[in-house]
Amino acid sequence: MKRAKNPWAWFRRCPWLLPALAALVTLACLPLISTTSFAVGFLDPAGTYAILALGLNLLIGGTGQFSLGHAGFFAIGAFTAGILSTNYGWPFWVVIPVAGVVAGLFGAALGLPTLRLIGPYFSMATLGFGLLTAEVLGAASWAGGRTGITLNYPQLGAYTFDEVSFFWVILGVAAVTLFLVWNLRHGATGRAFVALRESDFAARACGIHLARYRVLAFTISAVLAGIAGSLFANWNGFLDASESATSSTFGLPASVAFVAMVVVGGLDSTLGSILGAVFITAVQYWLQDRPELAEMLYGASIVIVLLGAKGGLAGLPAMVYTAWRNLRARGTGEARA
Amino acid sequence: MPEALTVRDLSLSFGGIVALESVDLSVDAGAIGGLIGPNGAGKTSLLNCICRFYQPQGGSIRLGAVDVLRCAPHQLTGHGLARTFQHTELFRAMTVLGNVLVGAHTRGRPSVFADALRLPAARRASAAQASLARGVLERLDLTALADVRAGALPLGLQKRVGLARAIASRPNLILLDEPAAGLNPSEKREMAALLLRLRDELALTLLLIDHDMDLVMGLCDQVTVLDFGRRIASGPPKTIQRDPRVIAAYLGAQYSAVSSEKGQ
Repeated sequence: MKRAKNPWAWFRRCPWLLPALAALVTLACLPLISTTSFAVGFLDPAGTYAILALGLNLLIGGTGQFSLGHAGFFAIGAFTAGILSTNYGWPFWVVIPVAGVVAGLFGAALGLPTLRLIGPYFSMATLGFGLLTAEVLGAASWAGGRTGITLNYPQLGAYTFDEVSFFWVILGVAAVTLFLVWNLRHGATGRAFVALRESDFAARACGIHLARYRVLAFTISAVLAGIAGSLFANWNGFLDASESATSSTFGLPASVAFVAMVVVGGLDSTLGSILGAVFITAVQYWLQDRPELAEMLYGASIVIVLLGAKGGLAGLPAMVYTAWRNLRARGTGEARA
Repeated sequence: MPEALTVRDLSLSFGGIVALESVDLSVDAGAIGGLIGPNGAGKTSLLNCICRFYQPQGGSIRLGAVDVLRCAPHQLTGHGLARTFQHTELFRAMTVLGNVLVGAHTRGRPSVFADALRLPAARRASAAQASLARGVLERLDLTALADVRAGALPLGLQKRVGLARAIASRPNLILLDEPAAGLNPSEKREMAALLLRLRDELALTLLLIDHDMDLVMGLCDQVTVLDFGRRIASGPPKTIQRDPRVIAAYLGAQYSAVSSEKGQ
């Protein structure tokens, strides 16, 4: 194959490349002006949860299987990272993919027996898994117990990351994740996921291997939740497993917040996953002194989205445009389109 | 004529309820077979056994030389089997083109890794699938609707999209569950003409269930009649129309050749 000589040919062939690069550069500038508390409270969690939401939306939006247990995979990733870096001194760039693999193995192990479960039964099974994981971690001495696990700042050669500069790592992982998830969702694999969601009978009659694709979607979402958990361990620097079943980091409230990200961002919308993660994190950050108000707000936003704006944040521009067009049509006395 | 589909001595029951009792059925390659009978006779159950949605307790199903009962459901498209559904079962949120692309799932799909990394192999495979799907849309006169959401179409067009989705897997045999149900008379005639044309152009074998006797008797080369899970008759339409058991169980006097002769 002949290589394009002119580098601008790349931009012409991929029209998304230029805006994507611009967005990446803009986001990469944020640590330069960010304080530590803004990085810890908003930048790092938003990026981390965006990675998780991208995977979870493949599962929830793509295959239509609502998981209420992804905080479990997040916790598995976080504690894998915590234990490997503090007890064994593994560098963070090895720990992160390994945490993804470990969470992915748990995902496959849970995905296989639950693949025949549909709707509420699947949700209940994953809910049970999330609670079980949190309780086991809370009781296990190797998970830190009441003293928790304290991680060192991640190092790359002679350079030591802090909470602010670690955002660059998160951003890099998030960019790669977005690329992979976008391709999957808009390729043959994503089509198979949606086909299973819409009619599993017809999907199977079209030759789609139901077990393979259900487990695949579940495993991918578990891997990304595990990677997100390991990133969290690195920038947060501290993991506390005690009472984690009810904690908003590893417990049921976290699982619910993850679902909220996907639903509010836009079911089955790749970019919506990121918007949702950013939105929920922003609500939590600006209302950090009033956590009950934050939960109320995103609880209400789930209800609003499900009742009135199924597209979520990602569908908002189209909804506003339609409403505006209808309004204008009425204004000029034309019939509604 | 070799048989494209051979069902022998097939039995299926759910708990204590017998859905099929040693049913035999065969369709010659290139022929159109019909499957009729009253509601609850087991017609769709038989189709679901052939698709491996149901596990029969006994008997055998062969697609040409392939033993269907040794296959998993997703493997059957690879052996040339496709089907449509009574209630269309379209992927409603997807476009018409998307539905047909899922139909082409087993025809040169890229691997998950190639897909995720958007490797050249994945792009070539996607392009090939897209051209296959576009060709199917063209053949079924659906090109103008390619980007319309399938769930937004009227039933007649949805049935045609279901057929397009089945065709996209390049089948030898298509099982059609009530292709004309819910269609108006002119749509029914169109559907019948379409089925005949596709059979001839693509060298297909068809097995169809329908309650419209004009359609079944007009299209089919062989008709099998089920009643309470048992085959009560099988043969060319002319014979079936005269069979007293079929008249008693299902047809009534209206379609029976016997009664019309008596009338004269």
